[in-house]
Amino acid sequence: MIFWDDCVVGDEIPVLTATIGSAQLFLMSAVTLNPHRIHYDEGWARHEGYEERVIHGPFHGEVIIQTVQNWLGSTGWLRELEYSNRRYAILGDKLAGHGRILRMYVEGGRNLADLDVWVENQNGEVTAPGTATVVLPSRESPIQTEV
Amino acid sequence: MSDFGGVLNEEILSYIGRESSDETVTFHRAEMIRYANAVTLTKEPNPLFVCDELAEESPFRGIIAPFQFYSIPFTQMAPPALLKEDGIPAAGGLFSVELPPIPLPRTMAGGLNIRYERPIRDGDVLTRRTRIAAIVEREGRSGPLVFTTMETIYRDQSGGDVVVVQQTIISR
Repeated sequence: MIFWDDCVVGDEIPVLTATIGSAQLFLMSAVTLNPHRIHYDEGWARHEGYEERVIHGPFHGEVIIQTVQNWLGSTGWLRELEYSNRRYAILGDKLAGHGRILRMYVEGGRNLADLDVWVENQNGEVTAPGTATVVLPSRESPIQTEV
Repeated sequence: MSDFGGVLNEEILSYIGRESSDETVTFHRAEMIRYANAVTLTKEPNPLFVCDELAEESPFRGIIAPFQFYSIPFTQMAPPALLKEDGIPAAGGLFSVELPPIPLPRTMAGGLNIRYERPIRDGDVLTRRTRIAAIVEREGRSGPLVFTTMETIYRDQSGGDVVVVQQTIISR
């Protein structure tokens, strides 16, 4: 369990790495009802100039979100996220979610932290940079109920 | 050259403030759990999204929707005959509000900002409305760039904001 009291500005959160397989790529298209062929039709993806099927833009967001939520566990809350898709990724790429505490502050009685967050591919290139705001429990008040 | 800069004009700027009509849907736990399982990058999703017992013991007192789930129950599906060759629907874009006629050939996704006022729970009935919040021109290295920002507000049964999403489209 992560407590506000134990966090320091500049701390890096644990990295989450993921290699998304073709079945999961299909499931993302399925749950989002996304018929765009670049995500499941290899021939079409090549026709559009990609080397392989393309990882959905929101999947880069999922890498960030799940990196932050893995760190938070089930007591902290990811409240806000901003990110941009800067570079595409394809099937077989290895994506890594990163985060670093940028700022810590109290607002409306809640302990908040802003994080720099980003996704890197296996070449160390940033595919999606962003900023997240999380609500953290403190040792004094482990349950921040107003969420 | 007008007073508006390179490509913006009065007609384009008149789109600022235009709104979509309201859409309302009910959120169901089965669909939330399905999404959480489909997208998880770890062996199991965070229990907050899928496990009643563990979620009940958390500060959330029950399962909540995964972070990017908010738009899923609103998704429309076009019949295959109305899809273009690349699979994208020929009509009806990502946004339910008409986009301004910006005279630049290419568009790309800009930033996405998602802010929750409270988590979404099973049984929530959410109504969303999208508004063109801003149209801004900047000079890029290879010519003008126009940033069109759409703001979608998701409200609950009692009219309270639940999620506010801003998405920017870049024309160049």
